[in-house]
Amino acid sequence: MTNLTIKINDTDADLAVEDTGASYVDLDLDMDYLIWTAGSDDVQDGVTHEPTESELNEASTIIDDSVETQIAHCLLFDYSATELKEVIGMGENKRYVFAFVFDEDTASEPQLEAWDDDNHNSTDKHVLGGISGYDSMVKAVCTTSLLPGANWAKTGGTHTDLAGNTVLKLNDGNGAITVDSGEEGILYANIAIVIPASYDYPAIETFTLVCRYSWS
Amino acid sequence: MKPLYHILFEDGIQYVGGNNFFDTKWKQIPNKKIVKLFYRLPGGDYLLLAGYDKYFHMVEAVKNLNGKNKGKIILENVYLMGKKGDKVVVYKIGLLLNKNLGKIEKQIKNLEDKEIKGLNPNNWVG
Repeated sequence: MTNLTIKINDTDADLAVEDTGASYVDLDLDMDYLIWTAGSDDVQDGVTHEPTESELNEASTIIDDSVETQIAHCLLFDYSATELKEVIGMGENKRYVFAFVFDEDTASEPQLEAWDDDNHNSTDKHVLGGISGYDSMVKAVCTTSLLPGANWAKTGGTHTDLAGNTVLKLNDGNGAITVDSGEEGILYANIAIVIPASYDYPAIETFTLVCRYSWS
Repeated sequence: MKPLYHILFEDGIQYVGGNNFFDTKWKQIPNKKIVKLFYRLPGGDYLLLAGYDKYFHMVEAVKNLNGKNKGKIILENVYLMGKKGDKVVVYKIGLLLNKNLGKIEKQIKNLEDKEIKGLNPNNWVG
């Protein structure tokens, strides 16, 4: 089988995983989690405690009346270090932000998906556009080959509105990846959350990001 | 556990597949003409594929970045395909307990279909 490790860049989003000086954190998907937030003194890079619900509420994003709002920060709660770590380059015109590392070939092209929950069969939540009729607020772009471009996450940008069967192919649509023995196949994406202007339904929501992949 | 599949080659030799989806031994199949492929379904019956030019096998998994099953590898479907001429017959077999376990969907796709073109060309056998 093929194993997948997901990494986030915590230092310099101009450096790929294999570049000298690069620093990525392996997501421990059993314990670590991502927080999209406006940030605050208690919810920011370097904080060494797990944020409380109250602290997360205080650091929530304010919906703007006239312009769409991109959530400012994505933080990883690194359980083993008990520390919040900023995902460097999230939402910016940067390539090396979220890395998907495969230790062998895949049988088809890996893809990123967003669903309400682990059942992977509904997209009713506000963040995924289900109830409101808006596009999904979860914007994703494949950066395996190229920079995403300025304002890629905003309206008119190069993003995919991730929800349900609207997925992001992680190899730029070029199909399965082949990996030489002892090497790794690395694909990249950038992910942001953008709230429409004057959005009528404030909410705190969770959703499930999924990487779908395959082996022969 | 019983093997996932058995293959009969044109020269009469048989090949036995791996006994679980994490070690299918598909990529170790010898490069020679396949006459028949018997694939074991979740319910214990076998699906027979025969008469194709090439065969493809794919285990589809998901890994959740968050949610209650985050981090776990969940096997959702297995695909078995047979290519003949410019057509590919695709059998999608469900693997999720209490959802689609054993459910089989059959589709016929063109070789130029984007999903077919995106398959790993090294993993076709026969």
